[in-house]
This record gives sequence, structure tokens and C-alpha cells, in this order.
Amino acid sequence: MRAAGAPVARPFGAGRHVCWAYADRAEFVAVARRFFAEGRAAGGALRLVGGGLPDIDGIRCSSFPDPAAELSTWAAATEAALADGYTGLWVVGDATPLASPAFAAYEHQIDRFIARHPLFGLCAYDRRVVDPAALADLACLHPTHNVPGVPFRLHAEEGTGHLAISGELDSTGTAALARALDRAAPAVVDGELVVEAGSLDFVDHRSLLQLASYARDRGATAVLRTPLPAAARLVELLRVPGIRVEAS
Amino acid sequence: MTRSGAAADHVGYFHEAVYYDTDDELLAVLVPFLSGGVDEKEPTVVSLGPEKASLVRRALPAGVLGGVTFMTGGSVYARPAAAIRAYRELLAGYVASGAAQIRIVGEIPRPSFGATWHWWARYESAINHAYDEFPLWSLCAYDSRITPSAVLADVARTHPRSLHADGSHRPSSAYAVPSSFLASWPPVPPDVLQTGPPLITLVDPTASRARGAVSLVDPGLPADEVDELVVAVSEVVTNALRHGLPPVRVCYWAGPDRIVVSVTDGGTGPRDPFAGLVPSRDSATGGLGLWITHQSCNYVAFSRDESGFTMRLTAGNPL
Repeated sequence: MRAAGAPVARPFGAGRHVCWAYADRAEFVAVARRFFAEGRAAGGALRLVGGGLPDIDGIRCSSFPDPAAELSTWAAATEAALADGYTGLWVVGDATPLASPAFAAYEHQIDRFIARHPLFGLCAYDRRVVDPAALADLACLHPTHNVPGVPFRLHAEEGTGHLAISGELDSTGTAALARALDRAAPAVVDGELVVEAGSLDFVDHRSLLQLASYARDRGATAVLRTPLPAAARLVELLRVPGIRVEAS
Repeated sequence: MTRSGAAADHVGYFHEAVYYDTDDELLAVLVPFLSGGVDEKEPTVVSLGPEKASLVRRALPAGVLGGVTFMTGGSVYARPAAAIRAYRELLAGYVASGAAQIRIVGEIPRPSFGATWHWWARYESAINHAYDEFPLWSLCAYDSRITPSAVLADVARTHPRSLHADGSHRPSSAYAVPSSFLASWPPVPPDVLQTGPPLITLVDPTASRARGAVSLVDPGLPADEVDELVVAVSEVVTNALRHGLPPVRVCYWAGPDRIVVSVTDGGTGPRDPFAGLVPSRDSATGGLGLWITHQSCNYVAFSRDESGFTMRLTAGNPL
């Protein structure tokens, strides 16, 4: 969990971005309450967004911002919360009706903001409604989620906002990795696409080839920063252009 | 440019065994072979263990010695798939520099004649194909005094010809083309650890779960070796789940000096007889994963029986 328990000590640090797939309304309400209780204890401002939700602990539900202005809306709201003396902004959103590839792209954009600002987002999805494959694609763009069978997370690194990948990259996630990269559309800087993989637990050759191919298609070299000795060894064995490994 | 010596009219790989009973007999073959290569300005390489390399150095005339490249045989022959990769890169480099022929003498180290011989036999067969795109003339030396008869029988089946101290080149009547030799898959003796029950048995695990079990049985091997085995287990289980037939059964054994993992599925195994030994760029068939597996373990054994196909992977000391 990003910055778990630390928001008061670091009021202007990173927030937290959680994907929560819920089974029914009761679970959603319980999880939202817990999140709000933590936010309240941390001195945060609280917001509830979604369609047709009941009040939760006295917090009125409002509708999601206009998709085109979503990022700037939350950035402004976070700043306003800080200006009002709160330590951050805690938002619970039921994003079930918004689940789509375009919204997945937004999930990564807001994740990059959250990695550097005290915005705390709980993105809830109704697992009875959202297609499991689409749900997995959304979950893997959060640093924390509760969706089983999602082997890796592609997210922003806390503090820097750099592209990071955590968990395990193996054949079960190769196709999802390609989709996640497409949605995140990470920036190429000086011909390099840097991936912070300090919390990556495993990487296989297919995923390395996938990263290399993604980088090559953008005229770049993927730089995987990882302490995993297997990553450097496999890249040396494969001799594919478009990727190198830096020990971290 | 033309090739010199016995391989002058040969296209591709000219692969010869040398059986010797004494050091003098070995030198009687190697000195003319190496001298001829240096005289013809062909890249001439010695890939022997330290003792034999030193024997050859002492026997070569000074004018020849300077033209011979000595490779440390031990590291080249650590793993068959790694040897094929290293040699192919070496050969490609020489050809790119304009070599008409390359001469190499090599000797598989004696420890490989034990429990891991099977994959070296596959190596000796596969290289007839894997090196055939190069104008290579190589001698594979075998000391008849210490080489088990079963190994010598495989040498005769995997080398099209042999070179003798009297200068004669004799075809091997037992020679089998690689596609035939490699498809035969004789039974591989089990590791002695396998006489006991596995420490862990998983049925139809995810690759992630199969990887995780490796550390549970690790007796404390060097981290790099465990790490390499984890990569291999992941590849083999992924292949079994994708290309084999259920159930996929993964069993783990450990002794003080090694970890053995067997992966069995109900299928018939890879169709490519060169599977694992020659790099495949085709990830879709599992060929690249098998090749990485062969680069990552100290022993890989295949076997096939009525219950299915088994790959056995060893980290640590397979002997």
C-alpha cells in the first residue's frame, strides 16, 4: 500500500490509489466507510462520486467530473482541500459505469498525479457488471487492488511519478502488459523508456520481448531498472534490440 | 577462397571424432591438424582442459603456437546449449572476417561422461546441424582409457567420421543423422533423489505457484543457481500448460547439493528434435523457452513413456 499510515506525517507526499472490485452494494459501502474512516483520521477531506449512491457516513454522493476534465478537476480539488487546511483529499468513486479502455488510460494518468500529490482514490467496480477481463485490465493499472489472478501492476512510482511495474511478469500477463503499456502510453525521454522495476518479483523472456517491442515501435530503448539477476541474464541471452537492464 | 586439408571438398561442417589411448597418439593427430590450419592462415582454435591444453602448447612448434587461439575448455563446455551458442558466435565472427575454414579441436570434460552424458550426446548430434552453416572442421577428442563404452557408442553414432594417428579418416558405420538420433530419446536413469518421495507435488499449478515452490525446497544453493532454476521451472511449466496435455504434475526433490524438479504432462513433448539445444526465435511453439531452460540448468533430461512427457531439471550438482 502506498504511504500506508504516513499521510499525516507527509501531508504533501504521495497519496494512494486502490482498485476495489466489490461483490455487492453492502461490500462497497463497507469498504468505502473504512476508507473514509482512515481519511478522516488522517485529517483528509472526503468525497464520494458515482451514480445513484446513498450517502455514506453523511457524505453526499456527487457525479463524476466531465471525463475530459477529470484529471484537472481532481488536481484542483486536491489543491483546494490543502488550502482549506486538510492533509489531503480522499475520494471514493464507483466507476462501474465508466469501465472502458479509455477510462483505463485515465486511471494511469490519475495514478501519476496521485504518486506525487496527497490524493487518495478508491476506485470501486462492481464485479457483477464489469467484464472480468476488463476488470483485470483496470486493476493492473493500480498499485493496489483486490482482483485475483492479476499478476502484475503497472503504475507510477511513488514520489517521482515514473513508470513502474511490480509483481510478476510471465506468460499469463504478456497480452495484458501490451494493453497496459498502450493505455499508460509512457513518455519516451532521450530515446529511453525507463521502467522502475524495483518491486518486480519475476520477469520472463516473453515480457522482456514485449517491453523491447513496445519500446522499438516508439523508436526507443526500454530501460528496466531491477535487482533481478534473471532479467539481465535473459536480456543478454536474447540479444534483442530495444531493451537493456540496469541493476537497481 | 577454398578450404584446406581433408575437408577441402566438403561443404559445411566436417565433424570428426578422435579416439586416443595415449598422449602421444593425441598429439600425433592434433599437431598436424593445428599446424595445417596455421599454415593455411585459417582460424585455429584449441578448446581443451588445462592439462591437455598445456600438453598441446608444449608440442607445437613456436611458429604454429602463435597462430593458435586457446579457449578455456571448462567454461565453454559448462552446458551444451551455452557451448552451441558460444561456438556459433565464434564461427560467425570468423566467417564475417573472411575465413575460408575454421579448425577447432575440443574435448568435453570428463565429468560430463557421468549422469549428464545424455545431454552431451544430444549436443554431439545436434551440432552436425547447428554448425553446418559454417566451413568448420572440428575434432572431438575422446580418451579411450577413461571414456565409458556407452559414451563411446554414442560418439560413434554422433560423429560421421573419425581421424586417426596414421592420418586416415574413417567413416563411422554407426553414424545416425541428428533427426534420427535426437528423436530416439533413450530412457534416462532417474536421479537417486527420485527413489524417495517428492518433497512437494503440484498438479496443474500456475507457473507462478510452480516457481514459488522452488524456494521452499532450496537446501541453500547459491542464489544465482536457484534463480536460474526458477526461470527454467517457469518456462517448462508454461510450455506444459500451453503445449502439453493435462494433467501437469510438478515434483520437487532436494539433496544437500542439488534441487531436482520434474514436470510431466500427458502429451508427447516437443516435436523439434533440436528442442532446447538450438535457439529458436519462435516463442509461440515454446522453443525459445526450452532453449532458455537449457541455458539455465546444470542438467536437463527428457523422457517419454506411456504416461506422457517428462522434463527433469537440475540445479546444483547433477552428478
